[in-house]
This record gives sequence, structure tokens and C-alpha cells, in this order.
Amino acid sequence: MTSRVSEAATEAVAPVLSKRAGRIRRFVDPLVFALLFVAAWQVFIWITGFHSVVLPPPSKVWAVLWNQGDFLVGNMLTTAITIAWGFFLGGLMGFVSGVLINHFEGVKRAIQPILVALYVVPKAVFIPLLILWWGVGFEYKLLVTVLLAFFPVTENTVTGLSGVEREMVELTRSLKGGRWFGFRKVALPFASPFVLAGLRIALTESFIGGVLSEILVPGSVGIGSRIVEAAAFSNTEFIIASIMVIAAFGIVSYFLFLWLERRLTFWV
Amino acid sequence: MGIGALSPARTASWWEKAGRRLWYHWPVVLVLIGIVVFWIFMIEWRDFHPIVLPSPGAVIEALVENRIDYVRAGFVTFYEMILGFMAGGALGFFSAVGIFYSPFLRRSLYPLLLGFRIVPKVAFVPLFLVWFGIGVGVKVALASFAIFFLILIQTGLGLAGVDPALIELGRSLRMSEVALLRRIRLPAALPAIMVGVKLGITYALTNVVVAEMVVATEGLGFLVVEARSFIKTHEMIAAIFVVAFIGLVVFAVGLWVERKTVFWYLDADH
Repeated sequence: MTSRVSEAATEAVAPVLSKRAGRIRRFVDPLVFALLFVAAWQVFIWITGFHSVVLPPPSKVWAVLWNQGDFLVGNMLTTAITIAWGFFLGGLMGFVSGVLINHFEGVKRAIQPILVALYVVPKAVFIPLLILWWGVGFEYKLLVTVLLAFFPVTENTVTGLSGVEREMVELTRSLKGGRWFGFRKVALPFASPFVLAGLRIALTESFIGGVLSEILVPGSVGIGSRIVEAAAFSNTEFIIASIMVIAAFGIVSYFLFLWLERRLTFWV
Repeated sequence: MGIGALSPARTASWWEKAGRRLWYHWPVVLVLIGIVVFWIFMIEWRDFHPIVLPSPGAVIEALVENRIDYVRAGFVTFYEMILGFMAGGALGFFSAVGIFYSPFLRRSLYPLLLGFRIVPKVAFVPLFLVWFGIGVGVKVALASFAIFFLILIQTGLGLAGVDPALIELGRSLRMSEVALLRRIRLPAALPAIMVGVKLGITYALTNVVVAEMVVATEGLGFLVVEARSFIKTHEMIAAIFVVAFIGLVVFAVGLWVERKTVFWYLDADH
């Protein structure tokens, strides 16, 4: 089941508790842990008296979130637009090229190794080249995000589609189903868990793309640039607050995605 | 997902399969030639300035000329990579075992870590700069931070996916929990862990290179950024090629390690 280069389709959170108790505690327990963690952090600062440049107490981070929340969220929204577009375009292109690779032998023979090679190479090194050719604006950031989001989807689409059993294909043929019919009714439902697993990786990669492309061009728009600026002023609490804003956006989008995934692949 | 008890009689060794695969994909050569021809065409007939698009010849020249720099930077990157991989891997592995044995942590911390995976680790670079300094520290920190999550989750998956029948078997043999972990749980979880190790080596390189690009003091990522700041595009592209090549080598090493350790799983039918 595992794809060659990605951790796709191997994720399953083990069910630990019974239904109703589980449903409540699944949200309460992580919350309790997070609160305990923050409390321990605050107490740790009180006891050791760490300098707040090195490690600010949660209260200071909270102050930043409270006072500059609009500013942070505004910057994060700019980044989120890049991430969303990059995820959408990269995912779509990845899916389409996965389908093409699987359907046309020639395409597969000619470009699949190149795509696999590009998948495993650290793609961040291409960023300076992209800056050179496309500047430091939205287009460049979108390109970085698409570049990162594209490959896991391609890889997983190919893995999923090539796993469709021969018998199933022959069955649709014998039922006089056309190619399109077979694709829609047999191949796609079979491959969709793989594709969605690829998209889940692509979502994480899009977040990396959005933030990394901004970190490498300080003074630009978006939360990544704000983090770099805060680092220049040793404004540690601002950095941590920014990371928390990114985390909040990330986790919300992750759960949205999981919810969508469950609705789309209800039969699994 | 059980243990492949006995590997079946093999008809072709894996490198024979790899060879056949390479032969199957020979049209790739045409595509690569096409790309180089297109590249030359853009320079010769569309008059691209060498700063925007240097000629392949200039890139090759830079590759040859700077070979000592690549070796030197490569050693730095390699060193940081190994340190980051070992630190993050060990931390992730032991945390996963710890979380596995604590029902509370499994319910509370594990979902948090799963959710936290989506946060780009590179955002922590400024923080690591404050904590670990501008030298090797920040790069190792970023790499180990990323690998920690990967190994932790893969180990957690592996441990959770062990066939209950095997555990029953161990219990019926009155194995202690330590023996159960050593003799049954971990070996059965090894394929999932090795997926983490395989990807982890690549993650280590990627994250070290990213940190080198952001912090820019030494290493392969630094060479790319440095060439850019001097507007020496041919050197930049040469350095990109070097990193890409090393990325391929590192991934091949990862595949090899996986192949060597869990061959009994990979060769079995699933």
C-alpha cells in the first residue's frame, strides 16, 4: 500500500476509546495537555528567570496576540491566499499529470523518472532561480507553493491509479463501459484515498511554500517576512506569536481537509 | 499488515529490476536532450542575457571551476545532516515509544503533534537562531525538529499497527513487556519506521539546505544564495545542480537502507 516516496496512506489514528466518551475526550484531552504545557512553561520562566529575549513567558506572547492580533492575522491572510492558490493549482496540476502518466504509456516512460527525481530533490534550492526570473511578488510565491504541492499529488495519483486491479478493468470492459465510464466509476473511486492522501501532504507542503517564500524575501508582505523582521529586532515573543497564528490557520485547514476527505471517501 | 515470515523465492534481484526499469524509461533521455536544446535555443536566438539565463557551457565551467568549494560545502552540509538526523530520529523514536505506553499522552499529546505537523518548521528558524546561534546549531536544530515529527509519527503508526495475534502469541509465551517490545512490537513496527528513516534522510538534507539558505553562513545552501547575491547566475545554477544531485544520492541511500533492513517486508506480498 505504501507509495515509494511518500508516507501516503499510512496514516491512521488508532481508536483508543469508546464512542461517546471518546468523542468528547478526543477534544478535551489535547486541550488539557496544551493548557498544562502553557502553565508549565509560565512556571518554568518564573522559577528560572529566563531572559525574555531567549524565551518569553506565555503571558508576553499572549500580550502580542492580544495587541497585534489584527496585524498578525492580516499578514497571515495574505500568506493564506498564496497557500490556498498554490494548493489548489498544484493539486489540480498534480492530479491531471498523474492521470496522464497513468493513461499514456509514452508520457509515463518519458517524464515519470524526472518527476520522481524532482520530488526527492530539495526543491528550496530552486527558489533563488525563481526569484531571478519572476521577481519577489505574488507570482513567485505562488510558483514556489505550486512547485512544492505538485509532486506528492502526482506521485500518489499514479500509485492509486496503477493499483486498480486488472479484473476490475476487464469487468467494466465486459459490461461495455467506455474508458471514461471505467475511469469515473472504477479507477477514480479506487484511487481517491491515495489522491487525497497526496493532497494532505500537499497541504503541508503548501504551508511550507507560502511561509518559506516569504522568509527568503524579507520586507515583503505576509507573515514569513514579519517573522524575519521580528528576528532582526530579537522580538522573540512576536516570533512565537506569529508561529501560533500560522499553527492556528494550519490546524483549522487541516481539520477542514480531513472533514472533506471523510465525506469524499465515505466508503473506506 | 503482518510479518512476511519467509521471503518467496526471488526470480530477479532488485538491481536487475532497477535495470529493467531504467531501460523501460529510456525516452527520458530524449526529454533531457530536448530541455538542453530548448535552453540553447533561448540563448542563441532569443538573446537572453547571461545573467538571466547563462549558457550550459558556462554552468559546466562553473561546476568544474568550483569543485573544491562544493566538496568543502558538501562536508559541512553532510555533517549537519547527520547530526540533525541522529538527534531528531532518536528523540522521535523514544518519544513515540513513551507516548505509546501512556494512554493519556496517546490521547492528548499525539493528536496535538499530528496537528502540529502542518506548521512549517522553517518558521522556527529565527527562534533557533536565538537559541542555538548562527553556526551549525540552527541548521541541526531545524533538521532534527523536522525529523523528530516524521520518525515519531511513523514509529507511532508502526506500533499501533502491530498484528494483535502476534501480541497474543507473545503474551501466551509469558513474555515480559520489555521482551514483547523488543521481540515483537519493534520488529513488526520496523517497516513503518524504516519508511520514516528513508524519508528522514531526505528531510534532513532539505531542511539543512533551507536553513543554510535562510541563515547563509556556510554549506551548499549558502553557495546557492551567495552566487545569487553576486549575480553570478551560472554559479548559482551549478550549485543548484550539485544540491539536486546530492539529493538524488541521499534518496538512493535511503532506499538502500530500507531495502537492507526490511527486505523481508518489501519482498513479501501485500
